[in-house]
Amino acid sequence: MDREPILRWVKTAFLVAVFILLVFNFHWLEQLAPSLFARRGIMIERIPLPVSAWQHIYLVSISSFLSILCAVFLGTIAFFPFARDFKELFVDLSSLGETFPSVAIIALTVPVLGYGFWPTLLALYIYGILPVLRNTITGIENIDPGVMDAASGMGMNTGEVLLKVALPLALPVIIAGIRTSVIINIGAATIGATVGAGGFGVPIISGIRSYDIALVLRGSIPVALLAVAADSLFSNLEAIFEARR
Amino acid sequence: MITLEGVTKQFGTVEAVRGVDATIREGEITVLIGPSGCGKSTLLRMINRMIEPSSGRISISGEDVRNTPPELLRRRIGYVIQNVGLFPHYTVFENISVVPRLLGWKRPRIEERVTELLDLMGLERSFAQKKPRELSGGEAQRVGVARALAANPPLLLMDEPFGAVDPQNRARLQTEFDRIQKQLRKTVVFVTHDVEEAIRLADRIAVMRDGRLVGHSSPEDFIRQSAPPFISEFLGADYSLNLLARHRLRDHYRPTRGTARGTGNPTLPETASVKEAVALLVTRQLRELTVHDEAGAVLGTFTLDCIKNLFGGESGGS
Ligand SMILES: Nc1ncnc2c1ncn2[C@@H]1O[C@H](COP(=O)(O)OP(=O)(O)O)[C@@H](O)[C@H]1O
Ligand SMILES: [Mg+2]
Repeated sequence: MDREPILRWVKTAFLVAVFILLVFNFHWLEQLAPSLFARRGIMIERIPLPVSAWQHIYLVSISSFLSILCAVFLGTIAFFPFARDFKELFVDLSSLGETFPSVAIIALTVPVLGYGFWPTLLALYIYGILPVLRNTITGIENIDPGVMDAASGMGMNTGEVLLKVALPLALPVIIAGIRTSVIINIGAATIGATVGAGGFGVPIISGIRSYDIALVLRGSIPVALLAVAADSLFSNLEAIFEARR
Repeated sequence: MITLEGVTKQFGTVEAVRGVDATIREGEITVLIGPSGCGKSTLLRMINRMIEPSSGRISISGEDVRNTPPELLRRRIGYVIQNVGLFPHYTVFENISVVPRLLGWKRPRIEERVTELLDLMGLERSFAQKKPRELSGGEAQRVGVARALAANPPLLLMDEPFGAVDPQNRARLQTEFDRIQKQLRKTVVFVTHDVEEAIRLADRIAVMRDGRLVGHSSPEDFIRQSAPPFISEFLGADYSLNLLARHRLRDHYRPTRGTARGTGNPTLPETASVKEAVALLVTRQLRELTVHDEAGAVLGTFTLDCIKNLFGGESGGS
């Protein structure tokens, strides 16, 4: 094995370790730069950071998992000849959806599902589908047409072409879509705090309300680290499947 | 034997193939040739139902292809395309064993077959574990042919299989394929737009133009029975000369009784091509040359008279 992939994983492990240490020992950072983290404004009841971290990761994991399932399923459906018309629609919707702010989706789901965990989950789920769906479709579309031609020309049926050729070859592109989706959702999940879904958004939002920079940093630093760690993890997965092609 | 009856394919307003009637003989290479866009690939792909005809009938050994589900039909027909289409995530072994696996062969039988095919294609056995990206263009193309032959189909469809390979390697692939075909005697439909390739491989040449089949005969017959202008033009003015490459001297010399040494003529082995012999006559400005066998014994003489039957067969009174 080359040294480069090992270094990539070391970097990922390092980022994850820093994230965990920080979540459990945020006071280290506060002691390191006391002026920056000096408490201002009124004291606000603090939720322990590990709890926020758990809520945040839980929300993102569940929504991303559901998004991926749904997106790969829809993207696969779009592969079949009868769904040719849907394909364009899916790709257009995905592009359109990404210009649509996630706050707006949350705002739209609240009247339906009320405040709390569920509207946020629904919003993140819908939002997370788009990049994965688009990449599943384009990933399959961009496979060398000669390969697809050979696959059916050898006598594979549509299902076999899909499972043995199309999906394995599109996998790196699909994972790239998952990576985008998860990163976006890690950021978007902070907004869930405005409707009471918990997570790292809670200190950020209350910090903003009370002009307390220390409180804002308490939410934003871990969330940024989480995003960077997830990005590193998925780019490693992408590289693994890219190399297997 | 493949029979095409009034086969037509329409893509929207484009008539890619128009009313093609033809019989493709068993155990022969039929080369489908014509300018780009004349419908060769479309016609070829209708045989294994990659494309369904708009009208007409295609049957293999008397059986209408529509009677067999496309997947089952294709597993019995070898298929090779220009850009090879090897599966990049599969090893050479896995690529070659695609159809046998679809047919449910057992592992030992597959292993045996893959080894056999690597040997046949002149590829090292160690290639089995390589990935397509580790292969040169020529090697990939050989694997492509091996993959098509894997389940030993009686029929092989090849769409410009050597088109993406450099000329030198292409010539080698053609020679090898010729050798393999002499061994296997498959029914082959071979699409190309390269006249020299057609001459090198074809038992029969089928010329297409604008979706129609405009000529279908042995390569020599295009000259014997003065072909229509389009065909002569497409085949080129040097077609007859190129055709001579297909023939060995051993079939075209006048035997001499006893020994005929001391003529001072240059000599060629009986295995040389007639094209080489004619080239020698032309460059040395000679009327005849001596043909000898492998041991060097004189067999006879070669003159231009010896090949008059090749082209003038009908009128020349052979
Ligand atoms: N799937 C298709 N849809 C529309 N037109 C096609 C399609 N396939 C081929 N054609 C058209 O049919 C004609 C013949 O194409 P083809 O059989 O590929 O020619 P060749 O193999 O002789 O170069 C061309 O004009 C081409 O543009
Ligand atoms: Mg073609």
